[in-house]
Amino acid sequence: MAAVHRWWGARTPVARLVIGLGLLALAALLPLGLDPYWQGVLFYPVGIYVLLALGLNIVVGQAGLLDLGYVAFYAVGAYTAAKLTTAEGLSSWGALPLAIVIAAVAGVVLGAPTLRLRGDYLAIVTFGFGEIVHIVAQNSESLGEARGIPNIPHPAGPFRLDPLPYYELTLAAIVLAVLVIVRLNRSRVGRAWAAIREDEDAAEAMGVPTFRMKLWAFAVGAAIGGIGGWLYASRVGFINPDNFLFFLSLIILSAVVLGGMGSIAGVIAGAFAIAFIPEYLREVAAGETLTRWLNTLIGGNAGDITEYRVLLFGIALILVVVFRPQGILPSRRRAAELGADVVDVEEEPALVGAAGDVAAADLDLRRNGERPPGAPVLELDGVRVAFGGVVALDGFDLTVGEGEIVAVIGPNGAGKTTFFNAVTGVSRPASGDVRLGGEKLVGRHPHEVTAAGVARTFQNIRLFPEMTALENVMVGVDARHRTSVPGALLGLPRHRREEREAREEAMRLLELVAIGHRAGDLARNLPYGDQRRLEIARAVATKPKVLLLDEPGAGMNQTEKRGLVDLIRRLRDTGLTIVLIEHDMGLVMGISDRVVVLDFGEKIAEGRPADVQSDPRVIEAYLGAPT
Amino acid sequence: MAALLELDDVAVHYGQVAALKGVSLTVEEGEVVTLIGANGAGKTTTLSAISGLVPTTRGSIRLDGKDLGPVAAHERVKLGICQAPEGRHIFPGMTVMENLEMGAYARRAKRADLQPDLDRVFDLFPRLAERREQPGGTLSGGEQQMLAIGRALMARPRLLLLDEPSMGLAPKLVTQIFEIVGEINDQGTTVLLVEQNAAQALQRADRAYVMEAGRIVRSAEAASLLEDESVKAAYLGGSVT
Repeated sequence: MAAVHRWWGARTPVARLVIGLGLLALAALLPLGLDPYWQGVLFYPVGIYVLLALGLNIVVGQAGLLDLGYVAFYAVGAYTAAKLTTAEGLSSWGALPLAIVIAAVAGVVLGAPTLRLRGDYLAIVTFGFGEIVHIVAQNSESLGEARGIPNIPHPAGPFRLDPLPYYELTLAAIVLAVLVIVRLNRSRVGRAWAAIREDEDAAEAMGVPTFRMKLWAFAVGAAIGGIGGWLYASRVGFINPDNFLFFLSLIILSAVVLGGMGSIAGVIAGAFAIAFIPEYLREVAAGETLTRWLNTLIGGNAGDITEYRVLLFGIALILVVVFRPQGILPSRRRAAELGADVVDVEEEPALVGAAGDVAAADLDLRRNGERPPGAPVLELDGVRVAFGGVVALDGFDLTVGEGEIVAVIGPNGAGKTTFFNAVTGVSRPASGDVRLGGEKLVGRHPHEVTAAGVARTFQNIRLFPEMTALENVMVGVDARHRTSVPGALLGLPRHRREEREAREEAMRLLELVAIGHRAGDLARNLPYGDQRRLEIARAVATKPKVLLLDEPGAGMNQTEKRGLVDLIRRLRDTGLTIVLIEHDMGLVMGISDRVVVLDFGEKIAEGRPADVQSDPRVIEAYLGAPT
Repeated sequence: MAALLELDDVAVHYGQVAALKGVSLTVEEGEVVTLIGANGAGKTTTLSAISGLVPTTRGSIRLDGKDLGPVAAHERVKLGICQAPEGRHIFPGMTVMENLEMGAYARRAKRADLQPDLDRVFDLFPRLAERREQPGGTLSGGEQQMLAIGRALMARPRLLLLDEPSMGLAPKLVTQIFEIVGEINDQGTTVLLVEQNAAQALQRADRAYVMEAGRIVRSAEAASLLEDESVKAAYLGGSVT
């Protein structure tokens, strides 16, 4: 399968278009020769499952949000179509946009209160939502209770009882869904989803409004589910709550996992396999043999293979998860996790300390170039942060001037990282004030702080490991752009311009930190020192006024540290103000204009590096006796 | 008698990428041996191969002459190999005390028997004693580093694999941590040490191996490398400015 990826990757865009159109023509024309029974199977379950799997894949595969109640949106679409056409007298076509919109709204309604939850909790809540929708349908008189809603009209046009037109319509919906997904993936929206899946906190710190982007993922996924529901109701003409059981959510989720989470081709293949194989086996001799064999094996008396559908799914899923966890046609990221398509980077010379090809002066990193050097840019007044009973930072005052390099040192646990967290909105101060250029920062979300002009790196490197170096930096650049889902979907000129700019600027920044040759490598495959550089490039990409570096030199040897010092100086020369936490006193003494010393959450010294270094309290608390 | 630890032509691949390309080294009982080299040279991978966290694709790793190939990572802990991983990897939801007790998991010791070991860890790191009831995840980065080392000591390993123990520690503690490595060694534990702070590591170590691009390129008495011009230029340096 890796070969398929390589082959596809080597095609020109024109060739890909031709192949894609060829496959589409095949999908559209091949069923013409089939008898109506198989045409029906291709509509449901095959077509509908594929459509639903594509919608769920946005939520699960791309944004990394485990949704166990996806079928609820399919139900909302179907019931909306049924109710509006039978009770409100709308035409079937007239109900379609409403089915889409109401399903999307249901996505937002579910998402708004729950998307602050993560992982297991979110999965359980979505499961609950799916059940609620089912139970409401089952018990609401106006929705026909357990009997459901009959006599749903077919859409105007060639749509009668004959399944073929519905199949072609479903195919059109699938093509539309794929186009939507591809468009979004190649935009800052898709990058934001990937970043959320990789590391939600780091995404937030890079300016991604994680909550809003997760809501978008739910809404877009739900809208596709809504189309599926409308299609189903329009064709079948009769729906009841049993069409929308939890089990269907699980099957669609299985299709996504089986095919390859995050991969469009994989998800289509997975859904096709799960929908088609049991139907196929029912009709052929091999299926009958298999049924008899299974009957004997477990002492059952099933009439045909579809009764063993669940058993076979179970076996297939176990086999796939054990032997091919990335799925049938994995996404590039999952393939990389399994080491399939990894670029061989072994003989690359380490570029430690090498100056970038781009002079920093070529990049205008300054956002507020008009401010005089030294004017206060970041101000903290009496900031106090407590975790439970432990006071991590107490009455902390600090003023950082434009263009300064300030180092914060102090014993482990003194509150240095807490200071960064208080500035960036990760921890909310219990009292005190944080201002950036006079603007208050306290109470803002991390992504709003980033937008205001503070960027950070993390002590323990938090890149988006399964995204390329270039994509990592592009997420940072995206913080300054505005394209959202509509712009990306429509390919508006602003979106195209922003996308081009983001790519070019990210490339320049990679070259600035001397890892331009690594642009296409996954972040996780970079050597440690390059990962630190990449994290700095990603932070600088948000065009901050103030850059906070948390132990940038940790784990570097002396040669690498010299390169780092050079880089920090160049960044300052382009107009950045820099605050860094660092333990290497050689590094601190060499580049800082000013040093601040924290101990037990309080500032115990502040001043020029040489003065601080000889301060007896600092020696006692931090440096230790000279060796 | 066989050396405590012997690596013979060990290779490790991450997917297609060769991280180790035939590493051979020995560690004798009672020694402190250090691995130095640039980032990406394969030092951490070497430790992970020894502790069994990454599979080898070639070569053999022997403890007391016994091949560790078929021995799972958690079984190697029982044989006396314990790694304090780089980047901490403490259990964030468990208290400091529980983290330390987990360190002794493989020993199947009674709680009372752990007291001397706990005392020793708290003696080495008084900061951990102050925070013993706090969840590991709420410790600062440097404190987590102390906890990772303390937890490894709780296993009473014969061979302690230390990966960047000084990373993220305040200067005062960096000096201490190397003293602690010395103490641990004096108490009979053999140590294999990976460090970016090569100057300090070489002062504490008996012998050293220099790694480059997945291979061992030099092996020597640690003291002699301290004076070696090429090592000085590449890994020791003076001021970083």
